[in-house]
Amino acid sequence: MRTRTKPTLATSSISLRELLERAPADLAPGEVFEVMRHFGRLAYWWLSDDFLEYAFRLGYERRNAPELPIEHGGCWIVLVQSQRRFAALRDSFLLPLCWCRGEAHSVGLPDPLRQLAEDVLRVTGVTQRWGLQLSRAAGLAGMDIRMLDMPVSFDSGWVSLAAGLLLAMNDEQPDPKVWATGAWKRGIAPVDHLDAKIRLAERYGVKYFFVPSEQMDHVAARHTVQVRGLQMGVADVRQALEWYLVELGLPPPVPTPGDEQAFARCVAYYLRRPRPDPHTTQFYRSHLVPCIVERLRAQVQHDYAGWSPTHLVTIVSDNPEVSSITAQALAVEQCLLLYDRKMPQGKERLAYLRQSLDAAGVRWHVAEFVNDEQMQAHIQPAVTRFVQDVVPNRVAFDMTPGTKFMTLSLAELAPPGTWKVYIWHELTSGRPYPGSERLHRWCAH
Amino acid sequence: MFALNGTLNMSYAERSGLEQIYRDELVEALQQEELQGLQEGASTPEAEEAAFRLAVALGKCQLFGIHTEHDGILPAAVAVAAAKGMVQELTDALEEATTLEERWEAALDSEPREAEELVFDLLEQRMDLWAAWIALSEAEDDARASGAMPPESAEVPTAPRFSGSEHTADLTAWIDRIMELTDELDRILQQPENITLLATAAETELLRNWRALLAEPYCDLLPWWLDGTLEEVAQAALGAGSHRRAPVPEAAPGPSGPGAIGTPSASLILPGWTAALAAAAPIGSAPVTLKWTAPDGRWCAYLILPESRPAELVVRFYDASGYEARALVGEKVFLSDVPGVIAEDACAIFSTDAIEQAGGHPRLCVGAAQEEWHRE
Repeated sequence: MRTRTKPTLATSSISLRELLERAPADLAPGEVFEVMRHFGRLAYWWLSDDFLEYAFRLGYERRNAPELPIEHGGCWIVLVQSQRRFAALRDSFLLPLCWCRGEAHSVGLPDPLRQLAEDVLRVTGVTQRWGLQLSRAAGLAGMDIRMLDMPVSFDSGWVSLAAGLLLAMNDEQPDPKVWATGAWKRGIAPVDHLDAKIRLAERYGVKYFFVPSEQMDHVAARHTVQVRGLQMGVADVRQALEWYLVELGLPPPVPTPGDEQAFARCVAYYLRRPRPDPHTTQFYRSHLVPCIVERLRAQVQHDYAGWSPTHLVTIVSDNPEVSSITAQALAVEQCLLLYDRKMPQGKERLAYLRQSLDAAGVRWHVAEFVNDEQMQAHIQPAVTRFVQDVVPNRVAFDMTPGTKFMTLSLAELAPPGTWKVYIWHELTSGRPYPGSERLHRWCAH
Repeated sequence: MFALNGTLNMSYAERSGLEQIYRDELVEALQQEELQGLQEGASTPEAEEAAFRLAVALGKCQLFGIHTEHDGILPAAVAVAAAKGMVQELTDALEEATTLEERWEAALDSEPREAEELVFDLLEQRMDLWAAWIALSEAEDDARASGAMPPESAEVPTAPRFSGSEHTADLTAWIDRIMELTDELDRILQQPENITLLATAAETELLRNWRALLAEPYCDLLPWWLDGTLEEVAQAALGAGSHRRAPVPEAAPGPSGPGAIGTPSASLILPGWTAALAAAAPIGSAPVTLKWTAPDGRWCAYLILPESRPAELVVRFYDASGYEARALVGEKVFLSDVPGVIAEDACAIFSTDAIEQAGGHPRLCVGAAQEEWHRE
């Protein structure tokens, strides 16, 4: 007959759950070691401050809660212990994960989490093999957390897993300061414990926390984190996560000239961003304009070999980038900026143009005008002064920016032998498709 | 010669010499007689091994961007056999990974160079498994895309007992099993005691050479043993003041002399300690806790290996309830054969330098009789 032995640390049959249920103050020192031994690197993510303080006193290195790493395929689930049964755990904590292309789900993950990952793959329609693993960048690779046997639900992590996967497939990295919680039941479904999750987000300095839209009213006003809605009632996962994905994706690096793949990634990122939006505009200027200029330069050299205008007349418009692009693509030496002083945000736009032309080594002149029916008369003296003494073949008039009336007025002032130029582009969702630009020219008569 | 389905869309690599080696390996793999049995619908362990070898050869051509006239995709029947062969290979690799440290120790006692070979063999095996996986994944994708593999296909003239869809389902099931085993293998290989041994390969050109050979897209999707992890672990081992590698016989003084840079040190740092220390260091977000238990189960001991190398190692002794083991105060204790005494606070302190100089496993013996405690 076998006898039942009392569970002890030494025989390792003591339940980890049992230890976690007890308040840290009620644990013997050896029991703290036992818990730390099992949690390993996850201890700093999951264990309560009281417990960690106890562990620090026993010799463990004192550290703050670790930061989420920036990682390709990265995603993270905000977990909450529903009944606060485990005194040694935080009320809410993060599980850092990552999707790995061509790999299996980690066998060290609990079955419900692996099933959730499978569901994400099924709903997103991803046919390539992607495996969910514990975050490698967080130093959790290879851990087996099944033994922790955590009584938490992973369902609310569905949107985080899905967004992480979709970004990874797009070769984008997630922003650790953008979090979400949401289940999926043929669409975004509500979740529990929002307050606890958002409190944790505040602790991590999160910018945006996306929650199912119908739950926004319950939490939005009470927290410093900006709470945003995940669109409910939409069966298409990409549409449901659209705005979350927009914020979650970190900008790709600035492409080096000639790196078409990197440029395409930037274009995709740009087109997903909302407009108007200062961040979107800044991204366009920093990541796309240099490549567009390079491409146009090559096109001009190919299509109009031997032509090298030195002077450009252009209008400061709502899209000042186009004037800068034209000036740089033509590599002119001087540029006349025609500026409507009453134009909304005109000063900022003019300032951008000046800076970008300065950076490109282009000398600029500004001529103000009043945007009325007499504008042609207003700008004529400045234009005349600017082009006088310049060989006509070396002067270009930019027909791309400004209203049609402005363009026609300017065209009328182009002396014979000068060139009228236009940056043609495809449009997508009301904005030029970066990379589609082609410069055309017509000789003024 | 056995033939493959379709033509792979591979880039041409300008790698003379090595390129021919992998081409030859593919040709040899295709010429294996055992494969003929598969065309007749008979799968034997020998045929499965041969099919696996073919998958490896084919996958390596893909990995390294080598194009040959024998390129193609494994027919479904061959892919299923190769998958079975791969499962066997994975099972063997798991056994080898699990016993790596033990075999390393044994090799050090007899023939030190063999210890290095153990690591290289295991890494080679992992590369083979990666290559085979690529070939099998493509076969699975192809089978899925085509819906079913026609049994009267010219490449597989007779596969009468299986319809294509059955092959496909079979293949998918085997691939699922492969993924599970591969994940388990990688988990074991990345355990502290193993990854530090594998990291010794970072001192050679092996990893760099593999990386240099990889073609797109594989060079952008490096697996863990090629993504710098092993180099980091090796670097951390160096930073921890110890260097873990198989000792080699001292070289006869030559033009560069025995102490020249690049000459392997003849001093011996045994694994175990370095493994734990190095594993804690490179990733570096938390400590490693080692635990030993007394044979009678009455006592246990813990040791924290922090992120950075400590000057001293403190072993703390507790009773079965987790309280300080006062009854053991004054007992002699040996950590990796370095002697110490359990002090009033039920701790024994050891110099990290002394432990490293002693080398060996994190072995704990307690009492005058030096009774060895079990490490968990």
